[in-house]
Amino acid sequence: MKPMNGVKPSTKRGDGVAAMGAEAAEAQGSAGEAEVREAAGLTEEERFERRAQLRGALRVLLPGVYAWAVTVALPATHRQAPPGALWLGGLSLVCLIAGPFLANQRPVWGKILGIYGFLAGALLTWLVLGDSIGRMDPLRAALGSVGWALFAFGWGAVRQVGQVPEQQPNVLLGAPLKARGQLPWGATWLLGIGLAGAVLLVFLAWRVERPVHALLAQAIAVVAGIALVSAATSLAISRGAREADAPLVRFKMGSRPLGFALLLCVSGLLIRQIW
Amino acid sequence: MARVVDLLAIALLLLALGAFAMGIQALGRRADLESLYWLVVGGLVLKAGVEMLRPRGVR
Repeated sequence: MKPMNGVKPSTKRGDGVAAMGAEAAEAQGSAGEAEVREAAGLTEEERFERRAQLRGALRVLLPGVYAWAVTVALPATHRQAPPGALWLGGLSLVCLIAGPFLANQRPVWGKILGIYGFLAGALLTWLVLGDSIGRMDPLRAALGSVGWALFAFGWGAVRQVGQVPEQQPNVLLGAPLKARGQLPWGATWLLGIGLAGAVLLVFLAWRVERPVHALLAQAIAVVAGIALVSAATSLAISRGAREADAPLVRFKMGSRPLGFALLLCVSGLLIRQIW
Repeated sequence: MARVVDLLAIALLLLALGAFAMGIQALGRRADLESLYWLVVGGLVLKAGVEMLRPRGVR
């Protein structure tokens, strides 16, 4: 079939419906690009949408299936594992696979099935397995936990790798819009300080040797790191905001916790002097 | 004046980072009470810094 008006009819699908549709459009002679593609079964938008949906599903399924295989299927298929574990593991796999595809039509139900259903199935499998889960190889378990983390990230709605927003068929072409404002001075540096501080805290937490206290230190480092990054972000973007209060009012707002902190510092110094 | 408050908020962020670091280090030195002290100081200082930047109406 010859291309018409510089448009190549889709032959990717290769099915009869596509071929017939394209021939019909050719017979009319005056059909445009969009009409040919519509007649072929899928418009450019639909094809783009489907590719994005498939990529999104793979982003969840690849790490999910790996995590499931390593941390659920392997212990459940062990000779000494109770028979119910295999059924529950299978149920969790069904939820894992069905979730991302259902999410294309019904996002809420897809997420409920793909996240909560999968997690519930995996948890019930581990509960049924009981102590036999402890036989898992530590390295395999660690790799499986990485798979679980990637599975969690896979459900996030970030821009996909390799996808250019301007290539979206619905994009409004034209000169890029100019930002109406600029970040205050030193915003990047402040955010960098916050991030570096958070990393420093995690590094210091690794130096705590007592096992229980080490765990507590890790938890404190994570919480304090998140607080630091969050505060640094606020500092980076909020300075000079038009809706900000007068400087004196702002100082008063912070004076109460600052006063308590100063009181604590002075008390600490005094106690140190006395002891 | 606004810039002074901004600089104070930045200084408080750095102080909070220092206090948190002291707290975790104290935990490593087996000085649990001192660790708690520094962590509370860090939390209060950080809270003060953020409060100084909170936009009008978000309280």
